[in-house]
Amino acid sequence: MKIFLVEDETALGESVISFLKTDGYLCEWVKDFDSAFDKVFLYEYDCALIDITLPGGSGLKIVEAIKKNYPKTGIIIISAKNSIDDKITGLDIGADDYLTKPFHLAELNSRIKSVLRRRNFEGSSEILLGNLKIIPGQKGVFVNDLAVNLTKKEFALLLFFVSNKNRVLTKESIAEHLWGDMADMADSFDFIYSHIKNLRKKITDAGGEDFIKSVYGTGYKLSIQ
Amino acid sequence: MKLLTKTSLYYLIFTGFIFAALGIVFYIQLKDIIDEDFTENLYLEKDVINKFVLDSGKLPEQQLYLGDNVTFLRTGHPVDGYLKDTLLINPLEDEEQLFRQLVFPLKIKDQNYTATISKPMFESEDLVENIVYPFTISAFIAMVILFVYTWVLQKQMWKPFYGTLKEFGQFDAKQNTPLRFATAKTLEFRMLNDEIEKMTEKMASDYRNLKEFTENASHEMQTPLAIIRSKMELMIQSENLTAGQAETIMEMFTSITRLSKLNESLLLLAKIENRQFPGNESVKSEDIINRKLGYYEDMINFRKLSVEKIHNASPQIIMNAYLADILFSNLIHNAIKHNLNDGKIIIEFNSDSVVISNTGNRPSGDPEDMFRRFRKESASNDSAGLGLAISKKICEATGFGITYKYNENLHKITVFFK
Repeated sequence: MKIFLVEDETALGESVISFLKTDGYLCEWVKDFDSAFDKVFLYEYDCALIDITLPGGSGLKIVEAIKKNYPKTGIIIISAKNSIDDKITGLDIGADDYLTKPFHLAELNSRIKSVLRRRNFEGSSEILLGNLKIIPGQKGVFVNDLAVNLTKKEFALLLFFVSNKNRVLTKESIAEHLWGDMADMADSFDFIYSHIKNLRKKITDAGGEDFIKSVYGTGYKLSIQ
Repeated sequence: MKLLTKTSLYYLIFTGFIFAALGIVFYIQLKDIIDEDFTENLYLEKDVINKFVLDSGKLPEQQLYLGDNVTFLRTGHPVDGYLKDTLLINPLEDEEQLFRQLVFPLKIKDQNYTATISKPMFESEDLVENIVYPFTISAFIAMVILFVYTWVLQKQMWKPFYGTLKEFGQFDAKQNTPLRFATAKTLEFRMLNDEIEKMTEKMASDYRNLKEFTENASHEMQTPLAIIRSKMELMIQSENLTAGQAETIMEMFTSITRLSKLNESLLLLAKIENRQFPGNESVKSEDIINRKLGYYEDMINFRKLSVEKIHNASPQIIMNAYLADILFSNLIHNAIKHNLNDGKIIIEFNSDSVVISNTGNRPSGDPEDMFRRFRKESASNDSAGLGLAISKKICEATGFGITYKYNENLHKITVFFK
């Protein structure tokens, strides 16, 4: 999988690239408008991560160029501007998603996975983890081909773990992934704990393996070899 | 009162006064002249009679002037002549009328006579009337014509002004298009238009700058925050963190998250204060609240809260849809967050208000402070306390009212639609 990152902030770009590389992506990173504009005419990428405010021009123009040349490329806009107008414009001209800075790397990773799934397999792909099978397009989860009944939030939680397997997920990033801006409920961390407990219980009760482990002091992790 | 009505009214009062004053002066003057002339005629008659008597040595036999009554009375002594106005019976019309009498002595062959000439005054009154009436009527007509003329003229002259006023009234700095007027022919209006054009240009550019600043501030702050957070996330992934290090990083991580949320909230407040959200969509508070309740369903179940809805009406409100979403989201969020386990939320929909109540502990401090920024309920609560401040700002910007009350163990927030 080839990922194209357009981000002018070196430190942030480094973090993103270093995070994504461990997942085995091939990453290409440019820092300004002109080089980004050249690249999108030459190469096809599976997913492009475009910052809007760039030295030399607007990232929206790059989104348009990608859409024109390689319509199959998934596009995620990453912007510090939490402006509704920009969001609407971005999605209108063909971006698949819009992520506002500061974002969790795990969230970015999960969004990339989701875009790639939608783009390449039209949602019919399957994810296999031991005897656990997940069909994201149908929101279906199976253990030994027997359906496990998960709530909407539990399914989102499982998919978030799967997208970030073998990584520590902080409670903050999980809360933000599930409840967005309103993740700061007084007891939300207990609440997340109970959600995760329920999810694990449902999977183990169905005979599945317990992949989700808590990591002392930091969060949770889905470990799989 | 409209300018045109006002000036017309003043004009009317002024011209009416002038015409009336002139008319009175004219009338008095005219009456004096006619009166004098009348008296002169009497003296003329006297002269004629004197001359006749002097020439012929006898009294005139017939009346010399038609309508005038001349009598001669034989007296012992010569009388003093005088002039007086008196009421007499007019034998022709058999009614009392005002006459002017000139009495003077005559002497024929040592015999004294008293001559009296009585002249009916109605002649002079008729004359005055005949002159005054046409004058009044033509003055009135002149006044009406002048009034209509100035009215039309003024209306025409002020037209560009009203055009400017209308366009200025419709001007909206958010539209980012300064006003442009057609060139006015009147110098003053041209100057006014020029000034307004300059002013709206400045307003639009100030508004744009402010908006850009707000967004740039967001950009400038969020980027370093994004960098710090991403670096920490990478650190957390490291296998060989000690428990102490992990704890420190997590504390930093939580603070960074709070900082970024705070920044976002403050920017939102600034944007609402700058009226960057035009409010013209028709939204249903009930739909939004139901959607929010669905969104927080698992949270509500987790805390075992019961939700009761009372439908008295299903109001349609006109406001910015994004702000409506934030407003009700904040209020529902609040009702869940500050609730007790096994508590309840009561939502009442009225035609002019929505009341959201929830069970909860008695708040410390003044209920009036509820909507102030950064008011904290307790030290353990990590929320910056901007939710209600934002809700209040949204209500202010939309022209709604919002109140808070605590009674019978219920926190009660009411949003009034006006």
